[in-house]
Amino acid sequence: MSPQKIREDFPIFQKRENLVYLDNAATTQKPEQVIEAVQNFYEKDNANVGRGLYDLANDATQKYEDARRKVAEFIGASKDEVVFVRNTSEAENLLAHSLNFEGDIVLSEMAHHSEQLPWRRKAEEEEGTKIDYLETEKGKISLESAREKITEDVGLVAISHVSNVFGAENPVEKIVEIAHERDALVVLDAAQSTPHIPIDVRRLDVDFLCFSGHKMLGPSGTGVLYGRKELLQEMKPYQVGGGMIRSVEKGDIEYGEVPGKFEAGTPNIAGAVGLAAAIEYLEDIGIENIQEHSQRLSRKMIQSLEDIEGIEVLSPSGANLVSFTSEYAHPHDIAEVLNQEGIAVRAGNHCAQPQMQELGINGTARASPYIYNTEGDMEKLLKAVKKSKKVF
Amino acid sequence: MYKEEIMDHNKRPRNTGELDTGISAEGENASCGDEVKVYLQVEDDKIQNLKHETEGCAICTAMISILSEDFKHKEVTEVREMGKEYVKDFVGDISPMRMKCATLGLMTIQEALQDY
Repeated sequence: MSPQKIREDFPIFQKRENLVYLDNAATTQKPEQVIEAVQNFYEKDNANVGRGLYDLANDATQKYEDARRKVAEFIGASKDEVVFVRNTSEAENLLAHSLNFEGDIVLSEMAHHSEQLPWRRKAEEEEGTKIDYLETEKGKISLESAREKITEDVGLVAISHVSNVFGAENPVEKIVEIAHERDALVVLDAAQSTPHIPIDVRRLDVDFLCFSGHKMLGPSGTGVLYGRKELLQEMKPYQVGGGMIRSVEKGDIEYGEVPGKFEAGTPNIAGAVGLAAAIEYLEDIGIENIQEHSQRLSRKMIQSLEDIEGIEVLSPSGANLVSFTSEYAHPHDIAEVLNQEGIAVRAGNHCAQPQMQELGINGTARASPYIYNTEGDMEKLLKAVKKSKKVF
Repeated sequence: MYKEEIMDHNKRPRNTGELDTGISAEGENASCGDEVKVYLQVEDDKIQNLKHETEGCAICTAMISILSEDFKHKEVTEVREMGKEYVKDFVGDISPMRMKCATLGLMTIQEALQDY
């Protein structure tokens, strides 16, 4: 794959020629193909879905359901196991609201707030439900901790595939094995992995998977909840309203089938169409190639940053991003100096405050590359980090 | 933004430490991890002394340090009613995200003076 050629598909790099965008773990830029898919939908196919009987409504419904099929194929699920939501946070909130299970909850210390707060609220609301946290070891969830903490009393384990702080893949398959041995359900936050790692829900054997479309070239406001069909069927609806019922009488309501049961109201139809276009774009490049590319760039950054005195890299080898701290400047100040050089990185606690507390730091600077980042971008980053050392 | 005065206050923050006066408050910017504790000594409705313990970025650290000098002998009511824009006199025009860093000290001081 050629990042230089890929860049040509992204209008933002033509409009902001000096932009070195390294905040892809927060959201990615959008290629023309995605922008055009959204625009085409509005120009040619726009109508509400699952309602009207006319041709245009049928076409819109067809596009929306094709998008669902595309997502399902992308993660190895069947079409009716894919629920469209706004983002990963909404997927987690939907689950915490609608899923009933017996037992305690296990989260991880590295958890993004979106994958821990819905479950912490649920535990607060359900008397007697306890929460425990899997520990972090060198940027990954500790398997030893998983063996110790996922006991017979645990009903649900909610973890990340890849942490947004460290960028390394957690030993998910082993944790799922431990959880299932003890009859606990597993919710996997795949927001940081889906853009970089081939996902197969059957191989991972997770019960639920949540991810965001906007972190993988799709439009903002698109996200996906995957759930095993029999589990989705048992769950109560999240929001109620239009488009998700079989029948409503004054004395009785019968809800529709999955996944429509979880999609009350008019969904983000154009967004779903854009997400399907994003998946097509990613598949054309090949997720394996993307994984290799982001790991190669990150490895390069890790090695070069480690050579700078006063910089500490927190990401382990194999990570798809680089989190680092410096003894001479606060992460914000590093990000500010980089910004002055046109380099966009994230600085702060990355919505993972408990992990920052565990590490005893007040945040990190994080550079997260993607398909359009080049070796040249890495060199600019390095130069700017060295410059920030001179400023402070 | 990183003017000489700011860099100087960041490197050598003034008036650090505690005061045992009972007028204090803690402030935190959850999104970035800046933390400020302020301690004030007030006499005749005027700030006589202001100390702080700060862990934060250059803007946050420099700004509380600057205010710890600037607010000495100012009327409590004046400080309490001061708008956030006041910090721009020192840090200049900065982005909304950095305004959070710059104003954390001011807001924490105002919180400490709330019940005074």
